[in-house]
Order: sequence, then C-alpha cells, then structure tokens
Amino acid sequence: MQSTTTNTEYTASPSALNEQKNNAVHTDESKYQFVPLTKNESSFLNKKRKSWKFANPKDLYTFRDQPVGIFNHLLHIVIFLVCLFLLISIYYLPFDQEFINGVGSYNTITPLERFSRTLLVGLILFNLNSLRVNLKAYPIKRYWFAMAANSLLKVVILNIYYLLLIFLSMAFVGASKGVDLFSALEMLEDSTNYEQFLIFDTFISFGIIWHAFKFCRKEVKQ
Amino acid sequence: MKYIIVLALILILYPQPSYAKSELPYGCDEYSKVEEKSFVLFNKKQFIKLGECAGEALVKAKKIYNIAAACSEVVEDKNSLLGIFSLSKVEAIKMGVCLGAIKAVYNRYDRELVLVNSRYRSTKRYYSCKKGMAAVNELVASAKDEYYKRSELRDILCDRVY
Repeated sequence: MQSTTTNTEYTASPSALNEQKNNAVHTDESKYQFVPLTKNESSFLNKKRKSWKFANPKDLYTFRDQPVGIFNHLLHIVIFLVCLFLLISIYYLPFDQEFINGVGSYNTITPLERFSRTLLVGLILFNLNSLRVNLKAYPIKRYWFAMAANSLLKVVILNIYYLLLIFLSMAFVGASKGVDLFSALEMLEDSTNYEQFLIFDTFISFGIIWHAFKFCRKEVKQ
Repeated sequence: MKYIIVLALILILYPQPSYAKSELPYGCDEYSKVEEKSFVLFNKKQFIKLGECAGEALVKAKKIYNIAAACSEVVEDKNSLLGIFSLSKVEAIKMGVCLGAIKAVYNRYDRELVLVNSRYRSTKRYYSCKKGMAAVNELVASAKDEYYKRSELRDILCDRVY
C-alpha cells in the first residue's frame, strides 16, 4: 500500500530529530527548531519509538509513522476483541435482574441508564468511525486496529481507576457511619442521592471516553 | 443519509434486552402480554396495573413478601428528581404490588362490622381502613416483618371505630 518510513515529509516532524541532516531541503515548516540531542535523549526517543503500545494512544499517535509489527498487530486485535467483549457484557448482557416474590423476576434498568449506555456506545462508534475517515485520507498500515485497541484499553483502565476511586470514597463514607464497604454501596443504591450519582456517573463516563479517544479524532496527515 | 444511519443506530442500540421470568398469580393472565414490553417510559400505567393485580391476588391467596420495600418505591417515585426517567420495570411493578395490597385490604375490611367480646359486654364496632398515601406511609413505617397475611395487614392499616 504505502511505505511510511521512506516518506520525505515525515522527517520534517520533530519526532525524527536525529535524521534531520539529510532532509534539510524539505523543512518547509521553519517553526520547528532543531536542537542537538544528547545520547540519553536519543536513546530515550528510540526506546519510546520501538516500545509496545497497548494503552497509550498519545505515543502511538506521535510515532504513527513507525511500522506496526505483525505480532503487535495480532496482540492489538486480541485486545480489541477482549475490550469489546467487556463493553458488551457490561452494557448489554442482562445481569441486572431482581426477583419479586410471587410475581417474577424483572430487570432493573431505568430509562436514564438506557439513555446513558446508548450515548456511550454511540460515542465509541462515532470515534471509531472518525478514525476510519481520517485514515481514508492518509492510509497507514495496521494503524486502525492499533489505535482502536489502545483507546479501548485506555477506556477500560481509566474506568478501573474510577471504580477504585468510588470504592475508596464509599469505604470512607461507610467508615464514618460504622458499616463496611458493601453495605455502604447498598445504602448508596437505596438512597435518594442515587439519581444524582447516576447523572454524575454519566458525565464522568462520557468524559473518560471523550478523553481516551481524543487521538482517534485527530488528523493523521503530517 | 448520515442522519438516517445515526437514527438507525440509536434504534438498534436503545431497546436492550429485557428478560422477564413470569410467575404471575392465577387470575392475572390478561397481563402476560404486558410483561414482555420493555419500555417503562410508555407503559408505566400498565406495569402498575399488573403489579396491582398481582398484589391483590397475593394478599387474597397467601401472604405478601417485603411490602415495606415495595411501598418505599412509591415514596421514592413521588420524591424522585428525574421522575419517570429513573423508574425501572421492577420499581413500577413493586409500586403496583403495594397499591394493590392496600386496595385489597380496603375493599375487604372497610366499614365491616367487628364484634369485640370483652368480659362484660359485646360491642359493635366497624373497621375504618387507610387508603392512598397515608396507608403507604403507614406500611413503610410499621411493616417490618418479611411477610404478612391479610389479617395482619388489616391490623396495621385499619382501626376499630364506633
């Protein structure tokens, strides 16, 4: 399809500082001023370039002209599928049911939760689509899966941090009332503040996805 | 074209599966179709009616479980911030169960004659039962047991008056 490493325009970018001398003619953007790199800095840069990127869309975007290896590509596909399975199992499989004695068991999902889940899944699909559109203008081999897997894994990791934060704060709230963590969570679910918490949660989840998929919406063209 | 795709996506994504395992009491078979509907947003009244039917049947037939939790949903619905947007199927049916139980007790015992036999004389009295929000608040406050029979509910909800 294309060879990204031999692109002449690419070396004008600041990410290729150590190859600057050969391509001084093509530096039409004079705003990048080249500084000499020390040995440590260049080794750091080289290390960053060749490192495996799994939850790091920012570095992947910066070094997007480095070719993605076939093994990395396979790992990216696996990560993408696992994260997709996680999201589907959280948002779609009906784990949330409650049994009413003598009437039957029904699901406990509210219209607000439905709305927020639809919004989040739609946001993910929108971002993946805009990544596809960006790559149509400037195709890079094996970049779509790499970026999608990185962004999705970042969403998962940020969500884990967020969950830990909630657990920690609920443990503090529970300790101040003299109960343990799980009864504190139950109390939160029964309390009248739960709806406000859900609205807050929707905004936070929206922000997490918007932040993690930031580099999907950026143009890949140099 | 783009907007049509977006609309189609939303239409596919929004109705998430809602599996209901039916165990409706005898006599509420007419609501078996209501059960399968997944949108509380458009069918709140029907779900409450389904719950009412089930609650009445349960009170008449045997005993009713967890009525204080069911009635607290009614209070919660009255005080909720988002109204119907934060009402799930379970909560709508629970509200119905509470209201149905109150209705069954009211229909059976209100203005019924009761003979109180004391040692010296027997006096005629009547039951006067609570209805509506007063009854709901009474049940939330004082129905602490796991299950109640109809006569026990009557003792909570009804007073003996002359």
